[in-house]
Amino acid sequence: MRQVDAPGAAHQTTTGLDSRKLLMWAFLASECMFFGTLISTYLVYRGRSVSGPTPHEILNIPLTSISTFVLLMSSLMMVLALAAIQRGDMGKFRLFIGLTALLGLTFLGFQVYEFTTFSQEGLTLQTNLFGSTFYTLTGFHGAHVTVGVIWLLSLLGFSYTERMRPEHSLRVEIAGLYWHFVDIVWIVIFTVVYLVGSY
Amino acid sequence: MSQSDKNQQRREEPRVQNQPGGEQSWTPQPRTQGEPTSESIGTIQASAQVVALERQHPGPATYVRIAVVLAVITAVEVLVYYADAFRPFLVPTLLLLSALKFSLVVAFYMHLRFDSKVFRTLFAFGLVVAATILVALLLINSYHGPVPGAGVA
Repeated sequence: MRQVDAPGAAHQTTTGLDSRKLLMWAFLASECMFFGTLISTYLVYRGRSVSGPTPHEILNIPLTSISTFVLLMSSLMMVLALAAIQRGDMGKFRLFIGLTALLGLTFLGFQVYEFTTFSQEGLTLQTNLFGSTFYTLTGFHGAHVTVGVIWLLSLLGFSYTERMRPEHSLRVEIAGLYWHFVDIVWIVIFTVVYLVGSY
Repeated sequence: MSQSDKNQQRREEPRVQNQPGGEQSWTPQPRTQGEPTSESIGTIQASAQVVALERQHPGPATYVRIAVVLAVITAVEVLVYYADAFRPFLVPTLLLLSALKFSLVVAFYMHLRFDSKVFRTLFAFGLVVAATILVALLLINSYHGPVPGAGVA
């Protein structure tokens, strides 16, 4: 089905699909490969560190479970924001998009706390293979979350101008796709790195 | 007739309701005040298409239900992790639960279940390549042992 964002932005495509949404899905497919290689590297080097700290010694499962829950709830807020702007309810849209960004920032706060604690306990990027692969993988994920939060806050800011109206809901949908992707990557990281990794 | 044509036709039809006895009543649509401008017409058309999209995508109630399921699965994952009884099949159980969460978010929150097959194919391609890289690297590593120099801090 062909989708239209702004009235002036309507355009025909050979696929009948909006090019911007197609581009985002192509980007997400490439991101799957990117994170796939990082997760593969982590798994290949799992258990190969000759010095500590090891995942079992250092990973804090209860704390990470809470941050995982926070990120899952941010995904809920994101779809509720999309549903709100599609209904034309700008007030609810601002509320939910703001909450999504806030939960994203909370998740980042958990990650900063975790990295600081690990560093104090002796795990740095250079300590061992676990440190190198762990910080690279979770650090890149954190960078993606940071980009997502900036994107969400810019949408919130634009909603107070004419540049973000209900007819621009596709922009929110595309931002949502990125945000949910960040969420599903964390779903995999939480299981592979934290639960299976520290087992 | 394509789906978009059907939606367009549905939008253009006045609200005609069947009454007992075969009669039909027409519910007048709310009128906008003043002369419609090209901008307002464009906005209304775009909004109508948004409404058409909304029919395809699930509503907030479904989103909340999915969130509850996701939260419950996460809680189960943590419980399974700490339960000694699950030790023998901990890894497959956790991977299965993770795959379930992944699928729910992709299908419902990312609307892949409701959107074009092109998006599904594109994303599946990326996932298959990622999975192939993962399996290939693990297999190579298991056959050849640790990479020379690996494990040195």
